[in-house]
Amino acid sequence: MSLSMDGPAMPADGADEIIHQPLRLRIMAALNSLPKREPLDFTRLRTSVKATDGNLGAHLGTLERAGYVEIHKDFVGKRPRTRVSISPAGRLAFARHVAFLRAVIDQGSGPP
Amino acid sequence: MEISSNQALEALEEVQDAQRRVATLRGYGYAAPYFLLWGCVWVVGFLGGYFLPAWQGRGWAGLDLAGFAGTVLIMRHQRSVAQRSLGVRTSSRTFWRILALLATAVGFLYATYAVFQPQRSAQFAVFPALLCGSIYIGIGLWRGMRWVVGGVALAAFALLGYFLLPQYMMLWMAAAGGGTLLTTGFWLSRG
Repeated sequence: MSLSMDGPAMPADGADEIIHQPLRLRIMAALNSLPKREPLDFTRLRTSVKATDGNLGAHLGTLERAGYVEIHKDFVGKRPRTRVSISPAGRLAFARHVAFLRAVIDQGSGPP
Repeated sequence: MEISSNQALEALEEVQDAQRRVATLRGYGYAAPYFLLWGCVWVVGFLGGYFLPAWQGRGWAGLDLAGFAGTVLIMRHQRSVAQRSLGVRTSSRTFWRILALLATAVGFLYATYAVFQPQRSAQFAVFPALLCGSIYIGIGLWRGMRWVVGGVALAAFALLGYFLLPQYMMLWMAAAGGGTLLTTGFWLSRG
């Protein structure tokens, strides 16, 4: 007998409630895939995570307040530019959250 | 808050999807300036071929050299930006691989001309577009749909000009060929 993938729901003790929100999870995944210290343009991040400007800005604010991302604003010529990078604390929190998700899957699909 | 294994699986799939899209968009960003550079080379080269047919041989050789030099400059710039951003010295392997790929494509082009001896200027003009279009389509199968669209457009415009407008092929390739490279470059540079 094997458990289905829709097995019993687990309490999310190990889940990071800030990262768990779907758009914030995508933002963190996108930024975490970049090399250390490399930022991503706001517009490129928006396309990567399929978000609107306002929605992305609001969720980036939440992640920035949690210390998970750093937002860099500057000018290229006269054009304002916003770039976002993941902080070391953000990388750690993301890694822990992904490990938690994997553990949930392992428990749900493993042998009884 | 409770999470089922299905929700966890969906979340991990979202993670993979976001990572894949970022990799694709970063690749587009790196490729864009090369398309813009070679788009300019094509516009100048084919316009020169139309208005000054005698210049074609040496003119194209000079433009190809200029394109090579520009390619090297862009690559060096991108590498130095990456090194400043990362704070470490990055490998030069990619740099040499891309240069070798470019040299191979140009060598293949001139070797094919030497072997098949095309007689008409339209034949000279259509072949680089078909070659580049095929390469872009091949790259796009791994690196993203914008490459494929650019490659298909380039090859299709070239064939259209070759069969329907052979007497204006140089002018057509300056507008449609160079224009496709420039448009693809702008598209790749967007987020």
